[in-house]
Amino acid sequence: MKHILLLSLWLLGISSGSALAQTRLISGKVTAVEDPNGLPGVNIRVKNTQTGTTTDAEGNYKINLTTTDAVLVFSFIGYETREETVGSQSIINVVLRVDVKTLKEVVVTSLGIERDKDGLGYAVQSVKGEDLTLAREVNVVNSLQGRVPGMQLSQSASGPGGSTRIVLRGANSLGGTDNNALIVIDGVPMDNTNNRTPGRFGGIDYGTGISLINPDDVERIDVLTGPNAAALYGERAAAGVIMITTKKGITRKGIGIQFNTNATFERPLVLPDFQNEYGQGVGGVLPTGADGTLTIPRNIESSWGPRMTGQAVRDWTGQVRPYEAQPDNISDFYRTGQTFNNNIALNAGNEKATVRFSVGSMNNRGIMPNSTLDRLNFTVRSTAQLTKRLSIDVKANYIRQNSFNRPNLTDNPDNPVYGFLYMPRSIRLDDLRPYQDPNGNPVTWAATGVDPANGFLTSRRQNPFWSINNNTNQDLMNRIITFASVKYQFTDWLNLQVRGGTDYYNHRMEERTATRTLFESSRDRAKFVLTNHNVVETNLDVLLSFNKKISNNLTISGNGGGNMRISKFEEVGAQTAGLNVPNLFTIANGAAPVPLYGISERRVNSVFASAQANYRNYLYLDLSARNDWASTLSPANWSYFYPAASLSFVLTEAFKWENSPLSYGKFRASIAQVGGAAQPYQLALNYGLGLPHAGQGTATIRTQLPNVDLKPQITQAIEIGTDLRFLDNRFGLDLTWYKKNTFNQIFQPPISATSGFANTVINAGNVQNQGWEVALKLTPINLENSLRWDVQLNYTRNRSKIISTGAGIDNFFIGNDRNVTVAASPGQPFGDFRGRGFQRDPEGRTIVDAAGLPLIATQDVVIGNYLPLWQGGVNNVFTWKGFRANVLIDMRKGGDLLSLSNIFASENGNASQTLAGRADWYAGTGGILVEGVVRNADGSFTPNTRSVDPESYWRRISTQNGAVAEAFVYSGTFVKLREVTLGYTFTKQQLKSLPFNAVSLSLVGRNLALLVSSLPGFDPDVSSYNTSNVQGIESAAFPSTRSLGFNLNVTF
Amino acid sequence: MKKLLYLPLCLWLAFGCTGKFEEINTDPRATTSISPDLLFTGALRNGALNWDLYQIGQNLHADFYCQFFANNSPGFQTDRLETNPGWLQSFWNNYYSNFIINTQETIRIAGTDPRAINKVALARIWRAWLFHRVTDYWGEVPYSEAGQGLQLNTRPKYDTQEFIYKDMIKELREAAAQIDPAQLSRYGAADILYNDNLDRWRRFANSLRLRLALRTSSADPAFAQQEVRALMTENRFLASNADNAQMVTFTTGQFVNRNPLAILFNFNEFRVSKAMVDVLTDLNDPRLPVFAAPVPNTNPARFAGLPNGLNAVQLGQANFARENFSQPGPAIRAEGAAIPVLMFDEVCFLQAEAVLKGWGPGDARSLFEAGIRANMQRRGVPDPQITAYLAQNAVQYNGTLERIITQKWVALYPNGFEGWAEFRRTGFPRLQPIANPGETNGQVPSRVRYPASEQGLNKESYDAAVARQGPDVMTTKLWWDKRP
Repeated sequence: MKHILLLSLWLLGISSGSALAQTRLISGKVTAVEDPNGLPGVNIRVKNTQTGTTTDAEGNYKINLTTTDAVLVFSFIGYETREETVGSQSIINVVLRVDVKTLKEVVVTSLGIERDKDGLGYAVQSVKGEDLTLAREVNVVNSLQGRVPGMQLSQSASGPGGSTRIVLRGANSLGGTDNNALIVIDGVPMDNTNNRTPGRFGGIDYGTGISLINPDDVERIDVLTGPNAAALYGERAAAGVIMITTKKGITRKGIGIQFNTNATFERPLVLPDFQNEYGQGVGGVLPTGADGTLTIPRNIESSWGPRMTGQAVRDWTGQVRPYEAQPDNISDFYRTGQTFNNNIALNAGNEKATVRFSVGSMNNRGIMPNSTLDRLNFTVRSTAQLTKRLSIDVKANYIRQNSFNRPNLTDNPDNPVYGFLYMPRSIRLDDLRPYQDPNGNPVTWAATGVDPANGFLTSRRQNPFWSINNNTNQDLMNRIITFASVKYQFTDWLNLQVRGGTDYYNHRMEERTATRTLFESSRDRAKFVLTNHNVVETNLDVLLSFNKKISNNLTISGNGGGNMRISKFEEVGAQTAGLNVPNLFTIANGAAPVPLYGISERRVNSVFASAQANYRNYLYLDLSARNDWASTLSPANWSYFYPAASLSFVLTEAFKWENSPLSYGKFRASIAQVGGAAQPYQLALNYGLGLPHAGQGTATIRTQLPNVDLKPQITQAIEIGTDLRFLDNRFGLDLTWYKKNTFNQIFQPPISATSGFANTVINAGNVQNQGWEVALKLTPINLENSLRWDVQLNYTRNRSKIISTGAGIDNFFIGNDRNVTVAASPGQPFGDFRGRGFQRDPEGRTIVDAAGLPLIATQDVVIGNYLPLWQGGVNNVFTWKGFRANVLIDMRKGGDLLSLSNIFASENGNASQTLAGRADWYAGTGGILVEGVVRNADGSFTPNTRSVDPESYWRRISTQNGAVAEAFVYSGTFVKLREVTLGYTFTKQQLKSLPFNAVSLSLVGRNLALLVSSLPGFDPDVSSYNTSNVQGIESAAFPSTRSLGFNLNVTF
Repeated sequence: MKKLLYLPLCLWLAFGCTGKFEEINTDPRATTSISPDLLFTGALRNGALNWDLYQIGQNLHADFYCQFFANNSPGFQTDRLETNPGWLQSFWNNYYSNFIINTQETIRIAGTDPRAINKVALARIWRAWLFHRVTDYWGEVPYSEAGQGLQLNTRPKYDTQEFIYKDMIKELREAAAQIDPAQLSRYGAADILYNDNLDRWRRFANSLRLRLALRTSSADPAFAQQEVRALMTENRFLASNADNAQMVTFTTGQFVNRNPLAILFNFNEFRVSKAMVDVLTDLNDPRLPVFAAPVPNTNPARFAGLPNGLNAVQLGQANFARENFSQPGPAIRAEGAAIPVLMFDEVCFLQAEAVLKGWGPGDARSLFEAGIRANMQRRGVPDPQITAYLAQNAVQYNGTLERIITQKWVALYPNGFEGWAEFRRTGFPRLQPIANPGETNGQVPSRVRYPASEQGLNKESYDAAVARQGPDVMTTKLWWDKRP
């Protein structure tokens, strides 16, 4: 607190530092027609002089004049410029009117250069900071869901601190990268890699960089969906760029204080869809124990028992109790989550300098008991005009995130969801709460005995309370994101900027498995893993820019410069199987510690140049080029060049029609190329060191056949688009068509292992994405000083096609999981699922065996594809007086999902769909009659008439490793009520007696309802377990949450 | 001012720049030149199979097929004679792109040093040991062109099993002859199989050659007889339990350092088979409590083997519940128990068979009894119990191959590779019926199916092999499988 006080004093010092002159003081307030609260940042200039100022946060200004015949020019982007003759006035209040004709949008483009949107020949989508701070997401990028055409966000099902896959205009690369967009903050790239990706056999999602950003610091986010926009960012921009611009201090009187608090409460949105009629058992009956009581054998891991009618049974606890359904035994496991966000921001500034300081905290108590996520953000940003020509801009952002007990994912026995898939419907959750017996063994419903050698319990199913209380994990992230830039203005048309930016972090992760944990295989069944990641991404830029008016008709601007990028990842840690002293989690206590070490380093040097010609503000031509030198390629190939060009034509500026319904019209076109280098260390034959044995070291040859001749991969894209607005901007259409090909792909196709290598690395293949991005804006209602209704519709349609995967590769393996392979095959879209189907006759009917059970095909076939057909969002904003309401609905059409959870839960008779036919079968009156045919001896087929036991049916088609995957592929179509907010802003008049400038209070809700979904028991929107190219597989997914709460924003 | 326009170029030159690029792109964790000792130690340890490949490669296939163990995990289908493509793929991949390539790299790198003749010889022996397991699983496999990726041969042809067997035998003959104790460039302690004992390596090479030669006895009797006779005349085999070829494991350390069965035991996914428990029980075998653990909570201790081939529904039934069947016994699942590679007791049975066939000198009965005795001794059975066991009529040598192979099967436990191969060659012991038909109509498989990747990545070679050998199914017989 003391530090904040000191800082405030410093800030006040700055704001009182302006020089006083011996002249007349003119003051006043600038407001807009539709907003009496005052316009900040309006430019005020004394006509024909260099003297000027800007308005402060409340729209007030002061200016000293030496003459009486001065004319003040008030200008502000998007408003009509007004001139006022001063005369004898000392107070001049001005009301500005929106200039619908020249309403110019400024966007942030590559290298953080702000540009007038008119001149852009490619699509840029912008989201304002205020859209991120009302109904919040712990990971700020999730707030963009449904708001940006061209963007596909796939939030991992891994809890609040998890990662999100961000794909813009479809996946480019078969193997070289994970196809996630580049994240750039204030012109400097940040590291957003997921360094510890969970896999099919478990793992923890430790999140990625973007999830650490404090939404309160975000001024705006500009999404450059194509590589066109980002040719100047180098290879990573081929996947598109998310540009985050953070807030700066503003010129104002005194100190501005803004306080925001946000509290939300979370519950699971969807829970597994389980039946509640049949309990633990097999064959529909329970055996009778020695004492004549019905007894459930302890090792039965399924709900194929008899109908639960309250009959007395002896269960796993040894007690005789009613055999009853436990419909809430999953929902009772979760608690109500809580998330609190608090942020205070101070800002101050004068003509010479500005500063903004912000402290934010986020404290989350997860829906999974015993889990928390706490984040602190400190940011200082300052700009200063040191001399007339020299200015600086510096930022330092420190982030500390401490997370306790992130959920274990997928097949890990410590994933509670995985356990629930196997837990019979008659198990009482409360019986599991005492999770440890006096011997220190876990208590569990599925015990199979005690190991005579060591007294340990043997069982295959973990007690979820043991998992969350004993097998904990913790990670601490310390991160600094900083930049400093110096700009020298040689003349009014030429400047040089030198900027250095670094994103550095240390991430420390501990994973603990307690002594005597089931399924762990160390001698004492304990394990401990401690890892530190040190990651640095540093960029140094030099940028020379000019902007010269050649004639009244033509302005030429451009820039040229160099960039040096240094990326380094280092992992240092240790793990031990077994602990000498039980449950003392230090490496020194390890029974068998081994060091962990990993590294990846690369450097890219670049020079680039771009030029823009602006002809009479309606025709713009952009040309740019870049040459990279990349350390990951060999000297013969490490230098590569790529150009881009774009054209923009502003119709309404060219023809200046009077009284036209078209208030703005623009056409744009662009073509761009982006080169890309390889991952490090793929050129030379290497031998890696292995774990020693009997005191002797070991080594193995690397399983990837090296390729010294790797060349850069190339992405080529074209796009055309238009931006049309009608009827004084009441209706607007922004339409883009694009086509993007990535060829010469650097990827690692498998080769026959009999060559001695698992895969090689080559240049081959061509992946194409083409599609449409549509943003439609309309204002159906706009009553003066009353109700206004704005609607924004977004639509994204991407068609992916693998043109080729290179010679001899007919389906490139992307990844796999139980029962499914994800592949890329020529002629098909990226991300085919291949798995088992039913055997079918020539007419396509399922073939069943003599018993009436379906036969399973022996070869894998394509059973789905994870890419959606289209996505869309509809955002409605209603404003009336001080009220503002916002309703965002978004949707996805298509995109298949394979649900492993539904396979497992069907095998065990837990899934709702396993109810059909049971009563009939046990009564001897039916069962499941598979709609199919029986193969006769002569090869003909006749319809099946034989009903089967549902238990046999589901065990046939849903065994854990041999399931008919085809039967568990669901459409990923969904419609979600993404966000609802309702807020009220108190006006200055209402707050007269209070020390506030503005107060707004909002009720906020996120992810409120899944309106349409065909995936039983899970959220199709939040289902994958990592951000890799293996998507569309739901495996014991951690539930997504519905959140409700409020937001309070106070400005002093 | 115009000079400033050159600034980008100047700055780039100042950034420097590609001078250190090659250094930056050199992986500091790895090396581009390596001692063959490190590769050989890795190939020995890994080739003897670490926990995970031991499970998916050996335990879930050969150990079930020869009925040492039976599966009790409903989700696992191999025991009911259905193929799990993923497990076979993984096993195949590791065999070639790990064990075999690293052994061949050892030979290649050591071969550049003329003094390192013993290093080359030992790696050649190990390569033959590795390859016979591959061909015994699949039949025709890439052999002569295997591991030639660096020569850009990524689609090696398959060789016939006859070629592979005869070449392995030639390799073992040559490598054993190559061993020269006078040469001082040796592995030393990096030889984690025999700790630099070259005599034992020669004995191991000859013993393995005897195993392989007898395997060809039905397919090419003349060839087999010639090889066996030469070996029996030289008579330089493993001569005691001290000579056993076995991979040491440790009670602590990483999974790769430990007894795979100790780790698999914790997974709780298999039991001792009914076939094994029945044979041990019928013959009053003192190894029963060593090979199997009592059924939990039985007093007096009772042993029960689980039938092979049960399906998911059957495994869910109470009478097949896990707790009603015997886990592997203490000697098998003990932490630190060595992994058998080739043991003295097996060599005794091989010699007994050679004598039975009239292919060498010696006394079949005493060799047979020596095999049982050696096995019981290494399993810790006291001598009086061994003598009592040998005195039984049902145990005593009776001049039949069935008697020899049945006792060898017990002695081989838990080495399923050899148990399954010898069952296929001889038809012994008489195994139990398998509960479900699977892909073989309930018969013990003759081989396993090729991994799916070969049909895509090495299709011509695969097709040629299938055309020669027969359909890629589990019932196609291997070349040496010509039992009468």
